[in-house]
Amino acid sequence: MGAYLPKRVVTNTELAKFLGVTEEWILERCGIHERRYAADGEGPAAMASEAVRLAVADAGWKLGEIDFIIFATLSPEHFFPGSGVYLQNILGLSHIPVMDVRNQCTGFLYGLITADALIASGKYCRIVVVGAEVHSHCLEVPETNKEMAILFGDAAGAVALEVGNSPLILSSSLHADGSGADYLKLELFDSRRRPWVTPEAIKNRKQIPVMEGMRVFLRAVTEMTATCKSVVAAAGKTLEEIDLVIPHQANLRITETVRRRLHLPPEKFFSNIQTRGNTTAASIPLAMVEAQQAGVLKRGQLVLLLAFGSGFTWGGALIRF
Amino acid sequence: MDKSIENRVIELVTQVLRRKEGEVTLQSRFVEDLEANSLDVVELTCLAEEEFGVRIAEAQLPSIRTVSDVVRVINELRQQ
Repeated sequence: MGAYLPKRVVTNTELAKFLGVTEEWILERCGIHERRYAADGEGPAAMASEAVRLAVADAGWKLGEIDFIIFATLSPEHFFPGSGVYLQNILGLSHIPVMDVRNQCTGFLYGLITADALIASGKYCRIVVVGAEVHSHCLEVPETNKEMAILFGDAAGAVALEVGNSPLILSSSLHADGSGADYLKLELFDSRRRPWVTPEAIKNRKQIPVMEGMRVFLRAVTEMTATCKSVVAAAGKTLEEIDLVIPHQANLRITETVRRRLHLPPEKFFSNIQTRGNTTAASIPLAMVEAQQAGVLKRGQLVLLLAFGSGFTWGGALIRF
Repeated sequence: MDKSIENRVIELVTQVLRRKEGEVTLQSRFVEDLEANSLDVVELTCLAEEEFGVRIAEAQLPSIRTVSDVVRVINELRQQ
């Protein structure tokens, strides 16, 4: 596993001043104290390349031994091509396939479960799943939706999966419900329009994401709680047998509500959102790296990965780490 | 009205909004009296769902303005 964090730390003090709110206002809404912002010119593929190099070294592979890359991001450099080919080019791996995943906060889990299936099919042996996001580019404008701006941070995280090696997915489930698509979206580009990007759209700040926070919160808690229970049951396990839950770091209030509904103690529910913010597709691999560094995530443990995000999309995977 | 539901909802609100015992009544308004924000109400709704085994629809959220509204919604859902 490997993770990359951009250098710039954005504290609530700085953000509160910028957004015209108080530090308490930020903290009480999301539990986040600080987050990282990418430097000007630093994109998701470049950040992902750092995480991939670390993940490959951690797995004891050489870079050239990767035979497939799955890249999850909602913030690609360009509308097309996807970030995967930019990452591949940075890494100098022009001989292997790359696949882009656009499932927002659940992107990493969609990628992980796809990688597991590709390995099981026998077609590929060494796959890297990477999530990387640069949110700060659309948050650093004064008219930014404050509820959104306080949540997000930039980061990258990657895992290297190999035939016969852990983590082994014991059970998993992926879900989507497009009836929730409009509750969390960025709608600047609209290929149904002529022209498809208009000065009005920019004037109306369509380059900034919009979110109906209450709807997202309620649905996230409902689905993450249900998915946790169903994925654990599908593996023939009980919640008590789970060593650690690593949820997508959406908002501390969401993950804490899920934890309380599941009646799990705080030490079994990993959280690093306080210093990282919500890094969408990078969130779970970043949390896995930091949980291992903190000594909380250990080899052999039964670990549940859990995500919910824009789409709506959600899912869970129970792994033997 | 089921008194045990009323009492438990008051306990939940007191806990989630970190109020002192006795500060929360059935008549308390979330925003005006308890200084709650929209996320407080949703968090409370989520915990009430688990506690009482009901599923509160997103469309019902705007109608929840007071503590007694939470009790009313739970009672309605339990009767269905």
